[in-house]
Amino acid sequence: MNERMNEIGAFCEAYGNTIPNRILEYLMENEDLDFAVGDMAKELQISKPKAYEIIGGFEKKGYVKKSRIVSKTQLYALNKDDKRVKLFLKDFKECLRIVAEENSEKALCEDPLTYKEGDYILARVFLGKIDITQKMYGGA
Amino acid sequence: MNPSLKAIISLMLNKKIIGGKHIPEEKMLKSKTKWLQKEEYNEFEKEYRDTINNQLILKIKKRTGKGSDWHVSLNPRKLKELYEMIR
Repeated sequence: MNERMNEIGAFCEAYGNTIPNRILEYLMENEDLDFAVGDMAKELQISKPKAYEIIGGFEKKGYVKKSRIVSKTQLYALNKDDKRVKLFLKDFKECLRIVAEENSEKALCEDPLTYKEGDYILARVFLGKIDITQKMYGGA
Repeated sequence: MNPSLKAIISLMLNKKIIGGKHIPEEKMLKSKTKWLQKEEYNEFEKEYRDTINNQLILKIKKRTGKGSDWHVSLNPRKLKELYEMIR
């Protein structure tokens, strides 16, 4: 799990695999969800002091804000009102769109009218000894 | 849409956990639902079950060292739907 969770995401692939970028990516994955800095550090496999340092910097810049305290643990959430955060989110969504487009399987040719040369032919149609498959599907 | 479910789908899409690539369900759910209250968790569970029933997220039992665990991955045939959900 940790190996998989620690793999480079699409956002870091595009903008560089640095610790601040990885934290930013984590923040955008948890867009509407609050999180504890300790959990984030564990998931991203970075040291807690470094994570607190970067989150402190992000708080000063206005990227994150304190949300609530649960049993002495301070939770943080992404500040979606910030203009720069809106820009980051837009880029992150665009990265996800590209991943979705690249990985979605090509739709199979369900409608025979949309048959094109090079598509799969399920059955060939013969009229006597003449192969009329191409003619039936509107090919040359 | 439930924020935890949105976070799970975003993470899986960002890390390209699609089709044959999978991660353990339990650890994933724990990390994204740790700070939820009971009512919020119940709401999440309902939506999560619907997502699995609609085959947007695929759930497979995988052999591990000590036995077997449920693993999850995104359905490659429904990536566009998933993207629309989190947009």
